[in-house]
Amino acid sequence: MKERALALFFLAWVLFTPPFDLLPLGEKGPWGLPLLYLYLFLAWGLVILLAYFLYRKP
Amino acid sequence: MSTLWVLLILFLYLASLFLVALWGEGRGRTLAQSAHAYAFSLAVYATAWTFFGSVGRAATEGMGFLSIYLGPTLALLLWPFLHGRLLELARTHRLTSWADFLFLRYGPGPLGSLVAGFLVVGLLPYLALQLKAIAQGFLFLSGGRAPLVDVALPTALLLALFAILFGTRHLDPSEKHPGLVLAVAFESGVKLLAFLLVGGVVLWQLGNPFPQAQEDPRLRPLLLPHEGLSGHLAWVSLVLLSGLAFLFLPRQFHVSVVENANPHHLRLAAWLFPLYLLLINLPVVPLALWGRLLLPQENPDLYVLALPLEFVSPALALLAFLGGVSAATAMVIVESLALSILISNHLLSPLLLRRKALGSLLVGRRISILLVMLLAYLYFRLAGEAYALVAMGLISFVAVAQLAPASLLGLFWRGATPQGALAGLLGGMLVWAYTLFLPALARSGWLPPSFLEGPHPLLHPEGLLGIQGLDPVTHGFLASLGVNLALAVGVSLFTRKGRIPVGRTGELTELTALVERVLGPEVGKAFREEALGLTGPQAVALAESWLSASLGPATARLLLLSATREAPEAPPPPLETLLEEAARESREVRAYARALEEAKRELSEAYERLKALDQAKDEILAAVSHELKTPLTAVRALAEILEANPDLEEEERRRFTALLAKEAARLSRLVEEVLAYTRLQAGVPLARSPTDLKALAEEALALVEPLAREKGIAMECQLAGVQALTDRDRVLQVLLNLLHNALRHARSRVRLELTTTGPEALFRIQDDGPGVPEEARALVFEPFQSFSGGTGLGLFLARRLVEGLGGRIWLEEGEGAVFAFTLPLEVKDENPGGGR
Repeated sequence: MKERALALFFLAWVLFTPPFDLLPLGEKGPWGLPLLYLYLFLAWGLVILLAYFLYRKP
Repeated sequence: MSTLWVLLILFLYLASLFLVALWGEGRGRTLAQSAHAYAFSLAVYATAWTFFGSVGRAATEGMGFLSIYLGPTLALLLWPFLHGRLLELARTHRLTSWADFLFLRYGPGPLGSLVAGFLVVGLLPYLALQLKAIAQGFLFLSGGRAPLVDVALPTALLLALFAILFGTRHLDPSEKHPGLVLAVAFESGVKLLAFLLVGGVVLWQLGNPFPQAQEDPRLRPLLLPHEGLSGHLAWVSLVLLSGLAFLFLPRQFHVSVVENANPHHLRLAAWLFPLYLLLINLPVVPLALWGRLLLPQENPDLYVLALPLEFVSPALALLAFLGGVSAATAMVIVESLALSILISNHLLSPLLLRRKALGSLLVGRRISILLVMLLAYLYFRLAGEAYALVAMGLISFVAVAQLAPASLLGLFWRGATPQGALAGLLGGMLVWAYTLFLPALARSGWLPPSFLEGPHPLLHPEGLLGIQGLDPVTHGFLASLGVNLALAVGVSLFTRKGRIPVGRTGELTELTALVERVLGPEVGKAFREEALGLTGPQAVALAESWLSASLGPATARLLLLSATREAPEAPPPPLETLLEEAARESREVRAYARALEEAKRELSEAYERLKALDQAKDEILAAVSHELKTPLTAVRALAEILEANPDLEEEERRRFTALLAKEAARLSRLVEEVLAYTRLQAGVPLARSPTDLKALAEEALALVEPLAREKGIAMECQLAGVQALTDRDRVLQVLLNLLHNALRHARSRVRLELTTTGPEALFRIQDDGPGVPEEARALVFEPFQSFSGGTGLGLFLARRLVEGLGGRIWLEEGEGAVFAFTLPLEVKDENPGGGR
């Protein structure tokens, strides 16, 4: 499990700290939602979901 | 809104906290120690600064606020490496803080006290910030009028009382405080619910702010990523910083390690706590945008209160206020408790030891809670709106992060030395003070403004080496942590690993006496039980962990010096291995103690058996004497009659001499049987030889023939030819005993049968007498249980002999008495003498 935890950590690190400048996150999303926040919350949710599957009772 | 109303609600809420905690100490204990309560108690991370400040930050600086919550998510993903290890260590050594760990890892030195003092200085403004949030919210809701009473002071005092009541019940702070945990989890629930409700209702009333905000040129930058390298650095640093703060904040250590009831709770917390943070951040941006759009004049930190008050209803604003209060109070309670433990374990207890006043340590801890609270209040009153307070949240985070290099290197790198840790910590603290703390004071006007310029362009406090464009927190964080890490690693590489500390050993009684003197008789008793069966050095280590949890590691070590001496053995293995193996060893020791306990029980059982045997022997001796006495008395009486009456008639004289002969025969038989019995007990070995059992039976019949004839009893037999490897004399003895017994009871005939059944020879001796009475059947083979005037040893001896030969003997049901016994044809299991 430790390997998977480490892998998930690195995935989360990359998802949470991408080079924002280089990504097209300045556009408007549905309902005028800013893509920046949409991306961050979705990435966060994904990490939580993966953590749930990883750490749920063995 | 009426001041009294708000005041009433505030104190009602605080009172409910006491109730929840009381319930948690009692019936709610199971709930308080559940995985869900644990995950929610971790949310003490989200303070009033989250509740009010996040919206303020989002409204002024954009995305930056979110990084504060992504860091803990990352840190918690690594729990198998960090918390798992820490919990194991904390369990063995009863750690109460990171300072304890540093002391354990790097040995005695100024490290622990330094960390404790530094954390108090670094975190006091953070506490003040929470009190300010309560006071500010109260002031805002009650209409901006100066409150009749300063609400922050009574709140602070109430919270101090709460922390004292539910956090310092025992001297040992490593014990669990379920009431406190449940209250903190409850507050986490309240603040999440309040924030989501406020956000939901405001958005429902006002609608979606995003389309409007996208068109507004002032708000558009808030929705875009930070620009350039400096923006990216700021984001990454904040993620890292908040992750470290989550690990190293004293209150987080307290709830996540000290109050952890079961390491498996982390499985749930690892996703539930990040989910909590995600949910509580959902309404932040919309609220911030509506605040900017509709209340441009308002303080952004108060949008959470102002929006519901202005556009929805005062009741919702009150709920928002309660949410903020719950966030602030939970943090204040746990942080002040954790700080007071730090103070008492690392600053106060060495002082009290010197003054021989350790008994007042618990009082000292309570006073330090009060003192921390009052100092925080004082700081808030003095600083007020100053920069030194407003910006202090992140500056405190950076202060706490200074523990990271020494602690993490200590956990994962064997090469880290005390000198390296100390150098790193000192360097980091100095840079922190120079780049963050002192500039904050200067901005508040407490230091001359020229301080912000620095003595030299390369030594600019907010731009060391002439760096420009970084915001002060990012700059201070990167500089201080960089210096800290570089010094810790560098100095460690160039210092030799400290002399391995000499292990110490001591007597259990002395250790128990010490523990008892310091921690009380009950703890002393518990210690004695736990330490039973440990070796000297192990017992000393156990005593040290117990003492250090309550008194701090430095004091514990000093106290132990008096009760221990240096261990004579070779130097113990390196500290790290010791730490890792300690948990395993204590398990093994417990197993060993259990085995010892088992052996002790068996020994005492064997002793009981021996005692019973001894008693039985005494009884037999008494019975034998008694049995001998009866015929002897008869013989003496007859002899005296014969002597006193020489003129007795011939017939009478013959009768007496016949009686004499009979009694003498009985005596000699008795003596013979007793002799046989003692031979049996002495364990004379078997003399096995191939024996013709049929011939043996015929010999026995021939031997009893005269007696049978005299009694007029017919002997019958049915004998099969059987050969067996057995002790001839002993089998003959058994047969004679049983035949004599049968002849004594028979009316007219006795029958002897010999057959084979499978691998055994079977003898049956049957008589036509009255049989054995029902109540005597169970006792018939016991010694001296005679029911017909026999010696009472015959059947007992027969049984012992048969069993000694590997056979069985029993009394069959049927008419008359039928005794049967078996003998193995080929003996494998030798049991000489059949001794008991």
